[in-house]
Amino acid sequence: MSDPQSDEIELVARACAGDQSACATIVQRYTGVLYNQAYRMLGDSFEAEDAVQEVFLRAFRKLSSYDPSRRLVTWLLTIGSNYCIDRLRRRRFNWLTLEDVAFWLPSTQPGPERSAIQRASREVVQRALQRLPESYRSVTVLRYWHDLSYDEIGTILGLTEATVKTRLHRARKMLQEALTAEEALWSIEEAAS
Amino acid sequence: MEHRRGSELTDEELAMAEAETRALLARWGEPSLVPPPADLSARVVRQLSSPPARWHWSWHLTWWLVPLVLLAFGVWGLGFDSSGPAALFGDPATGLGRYVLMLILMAKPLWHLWLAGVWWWGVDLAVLIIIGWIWWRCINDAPLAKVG
Repeated sequence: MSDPQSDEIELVARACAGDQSACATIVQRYTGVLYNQAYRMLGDSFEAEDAVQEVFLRAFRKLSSYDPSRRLVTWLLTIGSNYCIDRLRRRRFNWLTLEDVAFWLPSTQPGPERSAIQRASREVVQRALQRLPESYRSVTVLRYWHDLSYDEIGTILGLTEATVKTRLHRARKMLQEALTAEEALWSIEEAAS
Repeated sequence: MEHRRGSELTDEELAMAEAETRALLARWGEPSLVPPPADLSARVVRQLSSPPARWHWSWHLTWWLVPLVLLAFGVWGLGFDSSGPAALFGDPATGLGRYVLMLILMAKPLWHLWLAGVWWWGVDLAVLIIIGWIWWRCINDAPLAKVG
């Protein structure tokens, strides 16, 4: 049975040599992880799709610089974090277009009640996450959604372990406040309906 | 500042805070992984296997292209005649030829201005080179100071 780390190294070596099937395996294996990171960071599924494509493009462009001592997923998440933070910074200067507004309009197609509740509850957490500053959001997503250690988060974001802990500490407080507020709103809405 | 506040938590407090947050998230059914669109991987692979575009139009190029076109038309206008290049694009009195003629007429004064200035720039450059050469000769020929 092969060691996952050596399997990754072999996969990367094959991809570097131009093996298309190795590239496809990497993409299939890590699309979910990168999509979730982008979705939680950017708060939008369309932007998350774009982000995944761009992150893979960047990763394959500089695949030869991949350090085999690191896990491939950590390296990809580093590229993903940098991309999402850049995109969030650029977003501040973006003009609102009519297309953006169209995406926000509620869908006219009614879905099943259960999935609607799940979606709504996911949106509550998404809203709470979007309230966090970028630097706090990135540590929160990597810690709770990707289950990474403080050390790994530090490596991805270029921070010390102590800074990761401090940011997480503040992020937790903010998230708790935001979710408690959302919870109160939720119960009022439920009582009214 | 950040370091001090982060290290204030003991391992026990940290574990408790983590557990609280996880419990809070669990109440909302999180953390859950959102499934990516089914065809996303395929789209990425397709994009990766398609050869990169060698050259694509960028608006930054316009900043270089427009003055170059103006200069080229100006040279033509000065060297030959103003309406010649415009005639290539149709009647210079109407249509596209008219706009080309307008470009040539715009470029001509720019060229005149440059040609009027180039003499002065040439003289300045020559003076600078001569001064530099004399200075270099003076330094080269000067005896070295004795140290110590």
